[in-house]
Amino acid sequence: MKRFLVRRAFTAVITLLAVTVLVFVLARMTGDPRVLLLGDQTQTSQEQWDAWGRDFGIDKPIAIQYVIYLGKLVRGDLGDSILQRRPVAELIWHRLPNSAQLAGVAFAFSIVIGIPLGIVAAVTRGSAWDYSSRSFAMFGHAAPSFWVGIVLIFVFAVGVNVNLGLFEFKTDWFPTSRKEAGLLSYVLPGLTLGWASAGGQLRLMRSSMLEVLDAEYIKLARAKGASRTTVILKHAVRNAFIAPLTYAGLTLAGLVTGTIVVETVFAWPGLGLLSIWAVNNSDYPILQGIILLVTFAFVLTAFITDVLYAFLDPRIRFT
Amino acid sequence: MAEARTTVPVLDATLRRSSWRPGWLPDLRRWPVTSVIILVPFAIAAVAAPLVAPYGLNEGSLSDRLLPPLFFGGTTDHILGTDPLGRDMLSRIIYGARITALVAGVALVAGGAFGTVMGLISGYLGGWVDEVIMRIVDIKFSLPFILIALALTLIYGSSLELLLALLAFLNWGGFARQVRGEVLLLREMDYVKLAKVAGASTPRILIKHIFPGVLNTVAVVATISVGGLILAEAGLSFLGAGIPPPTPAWGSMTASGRLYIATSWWASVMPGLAIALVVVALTLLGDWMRDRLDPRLRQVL
Repeated sequence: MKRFLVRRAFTAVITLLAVTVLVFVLARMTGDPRVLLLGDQTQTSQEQWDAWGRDFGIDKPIAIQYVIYLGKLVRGDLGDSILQRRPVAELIWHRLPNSAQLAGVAFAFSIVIGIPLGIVAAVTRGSAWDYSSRSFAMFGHAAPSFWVGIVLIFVFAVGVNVNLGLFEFKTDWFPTSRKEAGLLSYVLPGLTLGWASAGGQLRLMRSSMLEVLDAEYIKLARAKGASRTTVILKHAVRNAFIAPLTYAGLTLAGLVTGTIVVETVFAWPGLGLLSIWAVNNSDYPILQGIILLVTFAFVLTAFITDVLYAFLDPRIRFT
Repeated sequence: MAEARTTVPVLDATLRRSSWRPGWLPDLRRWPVTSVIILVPFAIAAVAAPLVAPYGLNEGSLSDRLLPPLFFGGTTDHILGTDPLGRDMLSRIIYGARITALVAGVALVAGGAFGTVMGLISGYLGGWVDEVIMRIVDIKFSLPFILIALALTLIYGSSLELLLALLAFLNWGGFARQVRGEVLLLREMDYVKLAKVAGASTPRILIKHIFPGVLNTVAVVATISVGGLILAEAGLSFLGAGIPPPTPAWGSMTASGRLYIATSWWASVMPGLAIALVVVALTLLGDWMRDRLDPRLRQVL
């Protein structure tokens, strides 16, 4: 167990180091930040040019630059944005809540969609219910999320006229983008993102339920005279819930990446829109900061998930 | 002969019992009917785009811009309507099938070949080589793919070559992992040990004796991952980090039609629908292949 923990922590640290090397090397490939700002050297004096070089810290050998860079990272300094001339950490910190809220809502949607459908699918295994709930989840996973978002905007924000004889209404219930209608604005982007990851929850819940339903204590509960509903809700679901719960951390990390596309569709002012802005304006430090943050979040949640698994289920073999 | 006859119904019954479809549907599990029905037209479109497309790739006039599709107020001239520049949607989607097939195909072959070789080496040699390769695969899986792709696009500008390289990179890890797992089993087989005793060299054993054994795994991983590749390409093209604009990539078509969603939904919904249909079909095909060729992968993928 101890060996497993040490080893797992070691892998996590190696991964993080590899990412810092990667973004650092990429940063050098973007070229001279002075050129980006000024065009070329002819616009300024040699002293000014060199002073700027010291400012950006690009006057030292590359290995030293990396060590300095790493030292800054450890202290939470992600460098400055080239165009906005503000600390990247500040820019990210400002946008992070928006992305986190969206990811949180999406996560709630994926649970609300995935878990009940997974239970239904397992209980009615082999039936039309099983078939259609799995198809529903599969479609959410297979359809590109930007397209799902656009279709949802068209149907529920632009609105479709529905005529049911007596009732006639337009389905423009939700706003297309943020801050227009408070909580309502979370529904469409959250649903778009949540549907995409509901498939994973459904599959895990279903297989975990099937395994539990096969267990002796379920048969005993039934033999004792407990009703089918009681057995499913009280005995099976509670035990089957462990698998999707531990998987939750990883879903959450995946959602952060998923938000990039969805934020673009819904003009959601989070990290995704910020990274697109960075790409369009060649502001690499911002993008680099987001990459580091997302990877760090992912590595950390993966680590916690693995450790949690190891504690919850000691049968897992430590390799 | 008599024996063979009696076993068939038994086999049939087992298949039926494990089936997940409702009884009134045709047995979709034995043959991937849905996938074939969806994929065949797209395959024809990809292969013979200039022959089947009613209009040329960039043919159209601004006076015909954003005409609605047939059944939504349009005419048979433009069955799926026209885009913001007055070009025929159907024709552009047909040409887009070509791009999708090309990009996914090249990335799949490149990433698959590299991943398979890595998996063979890693699984067969074991030791520190295995350790290093598998750690690299782990690192690969923890990188935020879209963000890395955006960073490279920022540095080098968007191009087809960069996109292919990125997608191949996205893809190789899955092959390496699964192939390695298979090699670990094959390595212990008697025929491999005998080949070694007989003096066969390591490359020979890998190519002649182990590689044929992992082909099933490779085929299954390829089918399952191709949908993800298409989605990744579409996502990057949508974000403007994929294939540069004049080329009709489905993702960038969806992006350019998005601005007209309030008035002309078809300009963005139609190309996106093409992506969704193809990926759904490929996912179903992948599941079917896995159950057919390599049921053990069920738990992993």
